[in-house]
Amino acid sequence: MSGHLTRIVLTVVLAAFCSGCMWSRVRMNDPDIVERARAIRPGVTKAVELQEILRAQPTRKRPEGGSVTYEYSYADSRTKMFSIIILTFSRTENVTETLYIETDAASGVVTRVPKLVRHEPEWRFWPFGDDEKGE
Amino acid sequence: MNRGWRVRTACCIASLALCALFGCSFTREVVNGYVRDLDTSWIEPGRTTRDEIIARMGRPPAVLGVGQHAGDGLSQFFAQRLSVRPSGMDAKGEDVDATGLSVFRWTAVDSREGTFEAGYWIVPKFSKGVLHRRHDILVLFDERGVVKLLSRTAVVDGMVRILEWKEVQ
Repeated sequence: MSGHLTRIVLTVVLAAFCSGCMWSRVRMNDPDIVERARAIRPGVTKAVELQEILRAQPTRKRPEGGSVTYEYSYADSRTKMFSIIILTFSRTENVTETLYIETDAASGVVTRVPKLVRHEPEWRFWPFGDDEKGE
Repeated sequence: MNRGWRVRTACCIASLALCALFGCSFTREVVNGYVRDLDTSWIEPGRTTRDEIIARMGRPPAVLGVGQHAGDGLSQFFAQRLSVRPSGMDAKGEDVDATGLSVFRWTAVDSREGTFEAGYWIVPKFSKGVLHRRHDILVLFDERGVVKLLSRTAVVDGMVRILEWKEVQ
């Protein structure tokens, strides 16, 4: 009898600690727009060509002095979850960014494409600890 | 059904019920964590221009996470120190305030939540979420587009901590 019980308890404990993982990714607009923007040549490319090159509509078009800035916002979000049935750990890493393209208001020619950096969110599940450095 | 089977069945049911009765989760959400690693040591108020910052760091994102700037206590903090109208700080990462100064603002948010559920079919659910930490980089430009102020701040438990503060004297 005690042998049966031990096995049952062991099975239940093992079952309780059966783990599961989940990965989820959500994107707002297309972060690959940064790669396509490398084809833009300041001084040559015109604002009317941007849609064809980037294959996207600007999120916002904003006049700034003598120029017009086209803003393309995008976001990338990654969630990783680890679960042991009654206990769940999860972490979501979000990155929101904007590609700015400045054009001359009069000629419509692109004058500047600021530094293009794409930050990739990481896959991490452990929610504890501190990422801060030297603070 | 013999006694052994009955005991086993009862144990299995009891164990499953126990597992289904409660559960807890620990979640964490980080928005724009890369902001913490941005290098601002080269920025010199009174000398560095907006164009130089754009060339080296790019511009802050126009779209931010929900609630990133709401109720953070920072607007009030800067309003007291710089006479910057709080509404000018709340709107966007980059905005023009009442005095005509341009603002670049990068924000990293780290929030955490712990949840305890009494059961999948039982209503009580206790959860507590905290804004663990915010990290802000704020750059104010004067009307010529030259940096007037650079600040790096961390908000921990509602308290603003200055990590770096460089201002034109």
